[in-house]
Amino acid sequence: MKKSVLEKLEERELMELAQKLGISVRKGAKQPEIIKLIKSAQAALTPPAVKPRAKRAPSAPETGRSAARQHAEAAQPARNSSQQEVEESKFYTGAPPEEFRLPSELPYHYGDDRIVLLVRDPYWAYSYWEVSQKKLEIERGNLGRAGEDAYLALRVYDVTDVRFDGQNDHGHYDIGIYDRVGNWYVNTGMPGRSFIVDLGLKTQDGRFVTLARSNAVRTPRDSVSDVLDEEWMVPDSDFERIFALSGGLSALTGASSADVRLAGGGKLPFGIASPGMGSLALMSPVKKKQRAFWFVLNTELIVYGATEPDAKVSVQGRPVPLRPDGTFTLRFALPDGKQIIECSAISADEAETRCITPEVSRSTKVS
Amino acid sequence: MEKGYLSIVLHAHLPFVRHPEYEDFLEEDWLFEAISETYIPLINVFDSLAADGVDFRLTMSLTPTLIAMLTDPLLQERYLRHITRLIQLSESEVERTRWQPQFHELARMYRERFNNCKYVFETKYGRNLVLAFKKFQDMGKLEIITCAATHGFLPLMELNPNAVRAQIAIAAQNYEKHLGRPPRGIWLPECGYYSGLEEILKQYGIKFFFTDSHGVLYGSPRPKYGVFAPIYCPNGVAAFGRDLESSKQVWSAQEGYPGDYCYRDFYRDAGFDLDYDYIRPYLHGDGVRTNLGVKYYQITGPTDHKEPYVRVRALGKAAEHAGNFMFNREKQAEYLQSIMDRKPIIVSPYDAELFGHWWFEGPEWLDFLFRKLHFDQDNIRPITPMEYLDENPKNQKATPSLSSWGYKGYAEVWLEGSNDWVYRHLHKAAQRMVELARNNNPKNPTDGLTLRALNQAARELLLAQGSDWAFIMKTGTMVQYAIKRTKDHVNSFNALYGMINEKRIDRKFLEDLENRDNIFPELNYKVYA
Repeated sequence: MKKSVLEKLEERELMELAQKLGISVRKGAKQPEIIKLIKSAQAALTPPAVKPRAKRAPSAPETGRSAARQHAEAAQPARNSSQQEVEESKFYTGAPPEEFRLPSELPYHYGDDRIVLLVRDPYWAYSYWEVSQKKLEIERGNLGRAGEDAYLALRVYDVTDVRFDGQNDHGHYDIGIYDRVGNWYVNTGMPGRSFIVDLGLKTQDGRFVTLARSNAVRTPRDSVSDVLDEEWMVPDSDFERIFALSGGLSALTGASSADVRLAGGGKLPFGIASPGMGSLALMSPVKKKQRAFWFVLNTELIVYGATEPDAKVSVQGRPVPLRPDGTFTLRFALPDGKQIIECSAISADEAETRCITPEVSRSTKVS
Repeated sequence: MEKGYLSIVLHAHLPFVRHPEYEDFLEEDWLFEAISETYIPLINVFDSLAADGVDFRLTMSLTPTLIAMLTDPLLQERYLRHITRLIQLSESEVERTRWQPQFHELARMYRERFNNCKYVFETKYGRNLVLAFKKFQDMGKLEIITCAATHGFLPLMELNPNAVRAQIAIAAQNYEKHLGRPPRGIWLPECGYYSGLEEILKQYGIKFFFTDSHGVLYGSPRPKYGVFAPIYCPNGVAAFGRDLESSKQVWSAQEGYPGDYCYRDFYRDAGFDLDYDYIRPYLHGDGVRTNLGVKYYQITGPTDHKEPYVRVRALGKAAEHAGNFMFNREKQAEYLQSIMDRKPIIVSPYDAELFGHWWFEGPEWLDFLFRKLHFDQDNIRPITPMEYLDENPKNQKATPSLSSWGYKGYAEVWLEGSNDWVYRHLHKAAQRMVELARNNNPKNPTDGLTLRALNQAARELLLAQGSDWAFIMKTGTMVQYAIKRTKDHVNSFNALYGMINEKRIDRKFLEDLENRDNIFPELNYKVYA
């Protein structure tokens, strides 16, 4: 039965299948040879445990879809070896294929022992991490009795301008955490310096065992650099003016440029900028501004009628297109005041004319 | 002789939104509205400036995702369907408003605009607006710059240099494919710069980029001219800093031009104002009221009572504001020149979609501005960064500072409580992509499926990396869509990763992805190796 499924396939399809199964087939191999290779590979892979399943789905492809398509659908990613085996067996028995379905949620973690550090701004970094249960247990075990009540912690090192070896930091502090898969905003507090964070186990008596070490990051400056280039020197007073201008025209029009000091950080009013209001914020097609209680009322007038399909109709002097059955509908916003609506129909041979002229008036009171 | 230079930079970008699996899709309107309200009006302005002999200079990014959508046959077809519907609506509006002269005149304006959109899109430029922009680049008026492939926020990708390199490499390849030469400049997504990024830029021949003001101003050594001259990174790539004052005049919600009471109100839209049964045929399938781009009112004031929009008066304001902008730049340059020993360059970058879509009169403002600069004065010369560098090749060397143009100036917009969860997955996927690229070398021609899966995995990663999703999660409109896109791309990537490693690729799954996420057909996954 299994073989019969394979025998229905063409050489090209068999080659592809062999490829999927990781079987190397010599170029130009004929059908029986490839089938033999596939079958022997299958024999090596199929565990006895899946045999009952094969019995439940005994028949060859029942649907109208091609066998090759079914094979392709059956070839799904395996999360572990037993699942892989089950899925492989599915192909060999010709079980009804399942559509590959994308999970709707993301993985909770990836089975790594890893911590990553990202810069958010001159004062803050963001860290996320994961450590496997296994690694955690081993490290706890290594700590002996102290490992039992050791807790997870982040150790934040200032490693500015050093090649960090675990010891030579300029200082560090610890943050207790709870989850082996988690994240934390780290208040580094110092612009223009470099940091590394260790995820570790901390014992009650203060020992710290590193489980994972992050990449190094450098927080940006939040003021002008003190480093000067001799070739590009400028008097401080001139630079202060340039700096003030870089911050806004207010400094130019007023006499206030001297108020903007480099000392005290020399901060600029960033964030005026609106890209806070970037294109996408503008693009949202259903956004509607909130407003207080409101009430609007409008009136429209529908004028409709019918005549011979080949007649010519005009309303207020403008031609009106007719539907194939000779009917027509017009819709007008109706403002206050009087509307005289002259409507006429002229027969196709222009021998006959009819005029109908309704008058409509609207007046509105608002209270 | 000029006293200074003005470099206006427009950043045109939309994330890749394309859903062949649905008959129509709300978020595709982002593109269609931007085409009708921004890209075509800008093209018309350029055409009219060129026709009148105005020697304008503008720098404009066309992001690779935008280029991909503008050149995609399905989206082109759907745009035509969209604009055809709007033409029908405007015709019906011309009839409906016949007894209300002010509205009637506006309805006729919309009818003319929509018909013009269709003509420019279909007839004049053969559905491919990238070719329209290319025309002005070839004329020497417009410098088109590239952007990272899917607008990934690069400072948060620094961890994986291969991922950053792929964003740049694919962008450069895409640019060359559609614009016929390699890009010379780049708009870094969200102006996001980290020191060292210039090494990758240089590998792809990029000669200049932009930072927000503090990116250059806080550079080291201290930049002598502040943001009024570019600096060279240590490797020679130039960084131009944004001028805050000119930005504020246009951007600021309080003081900015677009808030003028005469200008068209963005929020009052026929899609919400008109009778439901009447407007229903022009809405999406689900029948939810949306903006349709037919808007009859002016901002009027801080009131809910809106007066009808008067086009002529609004255009008068746009001319006045263009004059004001020019006057301020002249004063700025004059003053700067007195304290600088060279001519300052004022760099004014804006989101392109601000012009026309949000600020309806924005394209006309640009039109007036370039005409006035050309005919009315000699103090300011519009220039592109490349021309500036050619004329002023000697510039200070300094390393810019990590920065972005987002709120508060760093990474917080894209790294905060609503969106920080994405990075664990994006980084893992990037790491896996590099692993795939290094471990797989499908040379065997019968193994086309693996090759396709590898390339598609790269596309899924790239699409997940777009900064737009994190941005939307933070700003709170269409959040569910952004979350779903992130999850779907990461999950699709992970599924492909599993299939490639297990050597059993689900052909149908792959084909569905290829059909939907068909961006960058020229992509080669080896770029990650």
